[in-house]
Amino acid sequence: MADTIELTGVETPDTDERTEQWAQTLLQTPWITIVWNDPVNLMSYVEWVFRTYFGFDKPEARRRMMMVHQEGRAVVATGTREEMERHVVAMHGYGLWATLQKQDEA
Amino acid sequence: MSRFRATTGGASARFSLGNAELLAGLARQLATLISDRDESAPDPALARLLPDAYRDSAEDAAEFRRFTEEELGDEKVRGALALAESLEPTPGAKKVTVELDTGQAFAWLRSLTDIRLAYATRLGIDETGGPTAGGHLDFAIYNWLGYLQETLVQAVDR
Repeated sequence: MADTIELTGVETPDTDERTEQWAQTLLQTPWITIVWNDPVNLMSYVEWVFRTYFGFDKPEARRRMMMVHQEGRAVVATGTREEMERHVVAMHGYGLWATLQKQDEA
Repeated sequence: MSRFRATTGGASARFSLGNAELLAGLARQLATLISDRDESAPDPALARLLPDAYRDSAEDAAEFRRFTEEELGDEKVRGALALAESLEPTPGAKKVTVELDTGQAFAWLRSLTDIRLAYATRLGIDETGGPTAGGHLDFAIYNWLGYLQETLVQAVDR
């Protein structure tokens, strides 16, 4: 499902990094944002952040917060590397411990 | 004990002069900790406040940090200083009343989180949520900060 811009990009790569990013998009390997558990953040606060920032409804925000709490981590977003980097820095702004990685490394 | 209550436009709380001074002092310390950070002197509190975005690639983590850390750090410093400023007592008053609109309440929640994260690192809060360093008073202050934040979440989470 590559669009015109991505196809054009692959035809005229100008840096290795961009080529790699386009190849990523074409291969449809998504990146994910993971929020990790920590012993400090309040459950109510984490749930509030998930609702406020990601726009999850209350049950969904609660489900992902509980996943962080009980399983030690939860995937909170999937998409391009750039989108995930924006989410991660936003989570750090809220004081949540978040990282990004390729989905297949999860 | 001070707690936040919901108001029509946000949240408010009343603090004793001592508690207001305590919290404002912690906020200023946080601002100093972040402003004066020096990458040649690693600090676990700073590592938690400004964490690596990539777990498995130091190179990617460093690259990401180059592009984001300054702005993120500045934002945290501004938030902490604003929190301290809102706790400034009026001359002669016996209490400090803090009235926050929704935006200010959101900013307070973020700064309270940063203060608690830094405080928890100094107290050596482990996976059980208990301290491994510091005295009873330090842990009581840490718990009070958590209680204050909990009441602020409840006040804005409607």
